[in-house]
Amino acid sequence: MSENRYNTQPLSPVRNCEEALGHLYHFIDGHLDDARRTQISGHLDKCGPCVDAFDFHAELRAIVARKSYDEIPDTLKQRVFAALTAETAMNLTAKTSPFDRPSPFSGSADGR
Amino acid sequence: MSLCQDLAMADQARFTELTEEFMPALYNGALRMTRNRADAEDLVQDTYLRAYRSFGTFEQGTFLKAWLFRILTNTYINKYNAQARNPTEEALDDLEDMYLYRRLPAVEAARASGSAEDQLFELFTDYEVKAALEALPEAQRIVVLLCDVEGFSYAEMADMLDVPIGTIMSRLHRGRKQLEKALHDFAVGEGIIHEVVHV
Repeated sequence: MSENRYNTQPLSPVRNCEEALGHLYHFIDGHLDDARRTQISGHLDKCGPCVDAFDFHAELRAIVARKSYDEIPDTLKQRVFAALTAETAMNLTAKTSPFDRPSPFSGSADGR
Repeated sequence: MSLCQDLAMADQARFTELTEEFMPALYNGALRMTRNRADAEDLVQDTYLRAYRSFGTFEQGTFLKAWLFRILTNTYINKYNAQARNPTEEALDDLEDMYLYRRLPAVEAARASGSAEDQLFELFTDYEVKAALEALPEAQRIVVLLCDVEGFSYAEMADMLDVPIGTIMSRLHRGRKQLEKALHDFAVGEGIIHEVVHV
């Protein structure tokens, strides 16, 4: 694909496509301040090839999220909860009183 | 039942209530990190036990999911002696930006039809996307996972991994390029790109 399908003429306020594309990831990741985001949006309003590139990568990001999901095994939840219960019981056996340590649940365990 | 028991069980119930909804995401993250189900399940259990033990350090009102993923990530790195925190210098990184995108002659046509890109993406199977992710070098894999799959911000990832935001950004950038290359190679191997060109 040739580079020259991108507009290399000065474009205000984002000077050219190279500059806009340099912010592609920051833009789709929401990591730009409002002023910069507005500048990039202004460029995209005038530049079809850049819109394509931005759309493609935003869509790719969404596809990666959607197509890399595995269901959690049912047994794992039960296993984790059993481990937590064993931990609680062990703490009680070891006579670790909740009063000897700061409550991790301040605001709930103290009967608020 | 003693008061101690009551309090301890109330603590546990409260912890479970707050954290349960994040378990599927944590499992999914663990699976991409360890790349196998048995290790992923162990990692999730370790993460929950660590989180339970240190829940006192969780600041109420802050982002619980990010706190849990921080524990997951650090447990993984410590347990597997992973190189994600201080990776050895990356081998040369000569992939160009937008690797897959630039190799799609169909893009111009896609603009007219508005659908060829979508078709291309739909042709990638879940297996291929997971394989492409899992093939990334560790440090990049974790950042791409945390950002693209879980939607964490650069600042949240920098905090989780204890590295500067600039490092997060460069890992993400390199990881995404490699991901595009992996998907491109799948597409070429299966003749997918060729098919799309002629749709």
